[in-house]
Amino acid sequence: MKFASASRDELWINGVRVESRLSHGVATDEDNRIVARDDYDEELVHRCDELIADLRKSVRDEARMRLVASARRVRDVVMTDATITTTKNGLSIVGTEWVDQPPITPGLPILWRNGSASVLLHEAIGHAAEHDAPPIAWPSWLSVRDEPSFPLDDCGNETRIVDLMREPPSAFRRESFRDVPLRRMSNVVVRGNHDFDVSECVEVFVVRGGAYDPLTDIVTIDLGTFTLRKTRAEIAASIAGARGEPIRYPGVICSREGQEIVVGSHAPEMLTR
Amino acid sequence: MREVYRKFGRVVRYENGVEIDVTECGEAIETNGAFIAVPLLGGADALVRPRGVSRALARWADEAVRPSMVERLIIAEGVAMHDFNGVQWSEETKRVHVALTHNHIRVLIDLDDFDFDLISHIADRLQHVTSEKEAPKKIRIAPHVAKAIELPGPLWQRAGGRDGKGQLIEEVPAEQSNCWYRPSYRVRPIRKALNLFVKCDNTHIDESLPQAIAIVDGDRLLIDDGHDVYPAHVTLERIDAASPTGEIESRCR
Repeated sequence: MKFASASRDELWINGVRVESRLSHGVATDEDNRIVARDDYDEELVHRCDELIADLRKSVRDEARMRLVASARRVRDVVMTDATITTTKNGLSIVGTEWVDQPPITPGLPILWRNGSASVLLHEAIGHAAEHDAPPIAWPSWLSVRDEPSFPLDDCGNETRIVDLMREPPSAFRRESFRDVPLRRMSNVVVRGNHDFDVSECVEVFVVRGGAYDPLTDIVTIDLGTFTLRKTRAEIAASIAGARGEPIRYPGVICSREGQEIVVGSHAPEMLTR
Repeated sequence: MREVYRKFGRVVRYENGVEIDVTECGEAIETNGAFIAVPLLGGADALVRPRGVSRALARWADEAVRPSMVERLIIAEGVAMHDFNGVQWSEETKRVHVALTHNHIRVLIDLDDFDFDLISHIADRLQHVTSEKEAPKKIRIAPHVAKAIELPGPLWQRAGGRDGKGQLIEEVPAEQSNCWYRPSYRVRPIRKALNLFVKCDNTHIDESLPQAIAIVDGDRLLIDDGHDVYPAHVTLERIDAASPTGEIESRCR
């Protein structure tokens, strides 16, 4: 099985391009061995050139923006990705539509808005599923699925939708031809409607980062002014309700084993107590 | 000013149960603050595949480390040729990264050689781990731990090799280093002191002291006092001795 990839990434600071990289190569998989070389795939590089030209139209002043255009070929199917990460005051979002996050006071119920509940459940359900963590009781009305938006994963297998509360993601993914494919999330979609009342709460719009430790079963969510640290069981017990349709969160750049990939993230408004 | 750096490299890495052999080369050009990196086609074809990882894996299989303790194992060996504005040099590297777990404790071990006896020893001691204790007043710090943690006192840069811009690395106090760190041609180099070590007149280490044998994930060290093995929060206060092997003797707060 051959996996070919190419990427162009650029760093723009205050409207000036300061870094530019091209990368391309082919990995040939044979059982438990991969031979990878930086071979040139003209079509993939051309697709990256087109994508990055489009992304450049969104570059703005007064921000640090990282543009990444990538293309990969698996079993003669070409798939592409194009993302912009915007960073201001140490906070990064995928995209360019900035959302301000007011300071968060610990101790109050949290209303996860702007799709941000998908980040909490990406860590607590998605990464736990990747590590085959034992099942725990999530609210019966809650659905968390991985719904890949591409037909083949990076090992040539057909992708499929999976219920992350019951099984790990179906797709093997790799950041580049230099990397070992890992079972990873692709596009997390949280659904559920369960009424809740709340008089006083804090609102989360943007999450700085998160982690799941399979050894301790602890989920960590960095909310800027404080860090949420709870076991999966505590998080499951804290979910009070959700309402509305899934909202696209402005992106998760997910890092595992040193490989950074973009994972789509969608969730309705959700309350945890 | 225009700076051109080229790297031709081949690395064999064992990771997540897979052996991956990566051959690539590329060029980085810095001009007036702008950094551009592109691959150079076919430039690394002549590099011979390092064979050490396959042999190391065979040795690892013979080691007494229980597979259930090994959360992560990465073994890598690489060869690289560098060229910076006409200055050429080469290097060979070996790296091992292991995460071992026992009783909900994770220790991290990073080595620049395939020293599996050491890993086996740490794994054996980890199986005897007890609950966290207060740090001893004085400890020894094993060389591989001393390399990976922040040490108090004056650090020096050891002479040897070349930095990311081809300059010879000289022995100077770390704060006087003008070296550049460049882990890949795709990464813009940064100023950083290299080959850090502690310079101390006293090179005699008290072998009877408890020894920090590994880093516990988070901010603790795994201490082995010869009888008990336990995690401890350690704040180093003053280094009393540093041996040529890299072992450190330090007082703790």
